Amino acid sequence: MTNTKTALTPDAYSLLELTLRKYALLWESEGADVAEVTSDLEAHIIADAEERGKPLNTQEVQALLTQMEIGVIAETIPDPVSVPATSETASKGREGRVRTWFRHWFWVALWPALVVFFELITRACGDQFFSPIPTWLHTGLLLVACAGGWLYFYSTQRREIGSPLVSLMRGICITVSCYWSFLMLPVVLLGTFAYFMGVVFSAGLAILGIPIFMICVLGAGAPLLLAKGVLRAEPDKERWESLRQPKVIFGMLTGLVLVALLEVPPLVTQYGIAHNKPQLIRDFGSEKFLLKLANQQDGWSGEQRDTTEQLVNILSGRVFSTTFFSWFSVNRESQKKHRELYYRVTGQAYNEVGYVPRASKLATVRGLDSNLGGDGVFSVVENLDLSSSRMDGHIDQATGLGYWEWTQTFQNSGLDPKEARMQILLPPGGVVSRLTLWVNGEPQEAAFSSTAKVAEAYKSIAVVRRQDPVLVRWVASDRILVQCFPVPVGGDMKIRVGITAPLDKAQRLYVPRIIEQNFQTLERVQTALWVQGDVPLTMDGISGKGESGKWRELHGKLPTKSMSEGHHYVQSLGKPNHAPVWTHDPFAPQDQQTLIRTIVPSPGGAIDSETIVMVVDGSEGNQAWQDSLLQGVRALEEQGHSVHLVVAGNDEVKSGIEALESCKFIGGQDNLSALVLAAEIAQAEQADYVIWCHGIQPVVIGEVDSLLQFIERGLRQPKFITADLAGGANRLLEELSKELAVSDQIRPSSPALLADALCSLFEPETHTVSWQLLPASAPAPSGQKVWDQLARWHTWSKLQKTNPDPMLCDKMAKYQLVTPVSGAVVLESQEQYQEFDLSQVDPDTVPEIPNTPEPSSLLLILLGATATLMQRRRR
Amino acid sequence: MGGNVFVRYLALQYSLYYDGCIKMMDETFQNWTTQLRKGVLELCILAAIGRQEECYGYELVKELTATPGLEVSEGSIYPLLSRLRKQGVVVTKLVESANGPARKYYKLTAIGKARMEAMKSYHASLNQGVETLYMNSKPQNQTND
Repeated sequence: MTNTKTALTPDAYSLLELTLRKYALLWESEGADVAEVTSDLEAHIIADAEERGKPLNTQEVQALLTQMEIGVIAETIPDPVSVPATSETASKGREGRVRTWFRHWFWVALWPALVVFFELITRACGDQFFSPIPTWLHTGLLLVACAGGWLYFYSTQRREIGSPLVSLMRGICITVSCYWSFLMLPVVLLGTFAYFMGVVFSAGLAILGIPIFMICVLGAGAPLLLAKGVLRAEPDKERWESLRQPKVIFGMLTGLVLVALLEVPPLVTQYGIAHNKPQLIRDFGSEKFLLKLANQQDGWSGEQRDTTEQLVNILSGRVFSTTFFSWFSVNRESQKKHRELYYRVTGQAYNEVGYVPRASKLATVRGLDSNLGGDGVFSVVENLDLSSSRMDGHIDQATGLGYWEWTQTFQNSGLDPKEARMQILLPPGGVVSRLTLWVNGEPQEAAFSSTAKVAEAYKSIAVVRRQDPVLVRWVASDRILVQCFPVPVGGDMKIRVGITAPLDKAQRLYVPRIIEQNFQTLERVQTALWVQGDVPLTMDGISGKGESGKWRELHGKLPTKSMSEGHHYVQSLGKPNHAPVWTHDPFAPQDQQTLIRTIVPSPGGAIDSETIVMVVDGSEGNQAWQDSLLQGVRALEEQGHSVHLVVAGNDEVKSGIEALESCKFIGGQDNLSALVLAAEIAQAEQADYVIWCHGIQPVVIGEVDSLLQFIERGLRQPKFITADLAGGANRLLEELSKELAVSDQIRPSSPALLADALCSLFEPETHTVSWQLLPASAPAPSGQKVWDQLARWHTWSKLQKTNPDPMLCDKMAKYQLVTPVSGAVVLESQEQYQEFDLSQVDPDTVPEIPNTPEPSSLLLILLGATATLMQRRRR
Repeated sequence: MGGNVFVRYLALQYSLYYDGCIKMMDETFQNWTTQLRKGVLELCILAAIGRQEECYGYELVKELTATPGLEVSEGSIYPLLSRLRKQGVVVTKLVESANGPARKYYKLTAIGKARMEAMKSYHASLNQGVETLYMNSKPQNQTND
């Protein structure tokens, strides 16, 4: 027999429990520890039972209790004399017991868990101070600590404390609760300070301060209460004696390890950020934590400071100042640094991974977007989705031009109107030639004007008045920024972008794609593709085909994910048309309205030997291109060119083929420094070309002025060519494009095609294109009459060859083109257009996907004509 | 006849009165002994524990309850022991036992030893004082020559 339950019969045990419970009040009033006295008496009875060698029954227990003078009723026990009662005197009966229970069990076992759940739901502390449970792992650890506190309390009541599990949980609870108590201490102090300030300055505020005080102190003090509860001594032991037990120490060390596992990576990340050490963050830091920092937004959110930041702020003495200042704004420099470092560590853009949940519940519920009306895409917002996507295309083999119309619908399932923003990668050499917004179900065409004017109109109407516009602006070579606001709450917004683009030398028409977006795409959404032409067409992943006379069409669905990866194109199986073509240009002056294109074969000749400086982006996303880049260099050298290689890789910039061979392609690399070095080499070696093979560049690392200075002032002006390997956001290209004519001449769809694409740049032209402008009244020229896209393309191609000239914005606007000097905006009403001195384009002049006549239609026309003739004859 | 009744009545009343006095004397005496025992109980406990380095609780209680004249029960001793521990007069130690529950041992702290010495000293002086009074007191039927 080793415990009360086995030393006594069940009835005897019940009697004992009942009797001892009656005396609890008296013992407590005498200053004794009720649990201790109870356990001592039980041990005494067990020892007696051991002597008897058998379990005691009810009568025997009753006799023992009587002998111990515990069987008598409480009122006849004389008052103690020699030892005074302690000041902790329980009141009477039930009220005293309830108070004891409440004090110990509720505050130690239940309240901390309730506070954790409260914070999980409301993020009250996260909104105002810092997030004590930034991740689910933190929440789990705190709940484990709460469970440990409850287990310890339960065990002390049951006097079963020696269990290894209880000791382990107690140790974990001690460490975890002490750590969180330390973190919450400034919050408790702030709350107390706020309350007393309210009392001092205003009685009214003092009343308001009470709930704040209560929330702060009781909620923030929950870990303190938990710590106090588990640090209480066990019965029969001194406090430190009970803590010195090996099992408890082991539990404390376990808790320390768990806390370290959670907190060390973010701490390492913070250190890496402060000292600009991306490799340290890659090896030991937390990319998730860095991503969260990179997606911080402005405004009253108080979000994102997590436990490690609080710890650092406390240890550095900045906790109170950072708390106050973080209520108002995010440090822009920090935000830029975090985004730059995220790219350098991972090689990804901070907004590429989708929506990053906000720590602030307020911000999450409101869906606050502090980048509204901004000049970029920025972070992904919640509850804004692309709900449908449709792409219609037409290839005109005669002109070698294609035209896409991309219709998209955005839906908003949040509580606030939202702005949809995206960057679209156009086909090489492409230009936006149409913009439509559906207003109240009716399509409305855009107004084209200077970039500044359309942007001003958009920001004023959309952001300030929250009415229905959409804005398209050119941001870089073959890249446009589309913004539409507001996508209404519970509603949707539909837009259409028209894109004119040439077929490349291999007769391919590239498909435009989204390279950066601030919305998510519903799982079910696929882009419905339809492309038609007067020649056979093929496309990878599209199998639906049809034909009618000379017309061919492809149709199918492109998964959204595959559209955002790699370059897709429609392959025309027709041959390039070198015959003369002409068109009527409705936008040109009367004396230039007939535009004729003539293609004359060139004599060709040998390939000129060029000096080329090739810059390679050694970021992680381009690793698959390493071998093909080496092959490309060798192919260029075999073609007779002198190639100087500059590689941005391994967090440094080096030159030479060895640098490319030894490049590890990790994280995101500083291409700006590589381009500066390339510019220097180009000057020194008198290079004619700088080819930049790049992936995504979501941030500019450093200042671009040094590079622009070389480009503007250099004695030699090499031709700047880019080879877009990954097709993503490129901030560096955006900066360069403002000052320089940059063209994405190479866009290989797979590494195997890179070498050929590079070599094709230097193959001599086999044909020369010449243009002729005649008055509208001139007789129809020889050659095929083609669509007016030719006129648009001609105007755009002339602009492409020169540096951006703001004086040309009127001309570009007249031709309805979005260029470096012009943009497009759709407003809600004519009054708004007039307010900003804008004019909507004539719907009859906008480009469209041509309707392909079908045999049945032609037959109807013939039949109709025949019927008409016959009727006349009868008359 | 009437006289006999009256005498019997008087005898009964006297008998009742006498019984009441005796009973009152008993209760007063009982109270006095109870208070006296309570007064020295703590000293007895400290003295019993202080005889050795540490003392097994069960045996301590057994010894105290068996001490003649002390007439104290386990129900009084254990709460007192708990109070003494909370005051830091004694410390306890639980030793796991292969047979039966863990054994609790008591040991005096420095505070306990000091209190015990103080109590012993006072008790001795009180005893001496009472003895002195007792020796100096004279019986009622004795007169000084």
